[in-house]
Amino acid sequence: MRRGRRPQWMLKIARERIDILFKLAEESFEIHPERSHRYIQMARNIATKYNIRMPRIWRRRFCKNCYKFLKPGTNCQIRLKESSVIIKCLECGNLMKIPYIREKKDKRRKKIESCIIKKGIDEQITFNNHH
Amino acid sequence: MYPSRIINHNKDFHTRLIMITPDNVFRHELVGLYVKVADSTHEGLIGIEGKVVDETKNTISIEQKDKSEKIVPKGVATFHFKLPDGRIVEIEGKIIIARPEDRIKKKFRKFW
Repeated sequence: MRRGRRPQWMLKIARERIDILFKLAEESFEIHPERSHRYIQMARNIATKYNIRMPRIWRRRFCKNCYKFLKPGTNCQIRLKESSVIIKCLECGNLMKIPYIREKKDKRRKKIESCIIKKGIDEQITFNNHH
Repeated sequence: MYPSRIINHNKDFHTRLIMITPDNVFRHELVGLYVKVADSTHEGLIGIEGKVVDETKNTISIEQKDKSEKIVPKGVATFHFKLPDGRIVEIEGKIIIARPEDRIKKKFRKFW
């Protein structure tokens, strides 16, 4: 088979398998943590082989340095600092920084815009009432 | 709308149910399925049953009811896999000899 692009049905199966593996990892973490680390490794093998991005919900659930499953409260620490989410892996001590400054700016902009629109509407209403 | 519709409110169960079918079990994830070793050239392996917990190129490791793990080579056994919707599929171990990530693209045509 040619390298690179794969047929759609293969990618579909691969995505489903990644999802199943992450779910199993979450289930088995408490009793068998080493198993859940192994499942992450398998899921990553599939994802790298078929050029699939990790699903959004699972992207923050494993360490990018030691590739171990992270469960908040037991083997990882999550803090909000300098407008970014900081995830610290307690297995290897690696810090993952995920900035959310863009969302913050968007929120500010929306607030200002909505204020302006509201003002305009208010003025119109008062204008109509006067006549 | 649909001639046959599965009514199930548990969403996870529902999706899992549709995903794995007898047509694509050998390409799909074996970890997490219930399995029984139906036949083998080695008599000691026959009758092992439980959940699949790990998979490598040549072996499947099975967790039995008493929490002990057994490693079964794929090449010498035939397996009965129980799908999430309850159907049981017989698979010869020889045709699933491949790394778990390579099984998706493996060609199975010559075995049918």
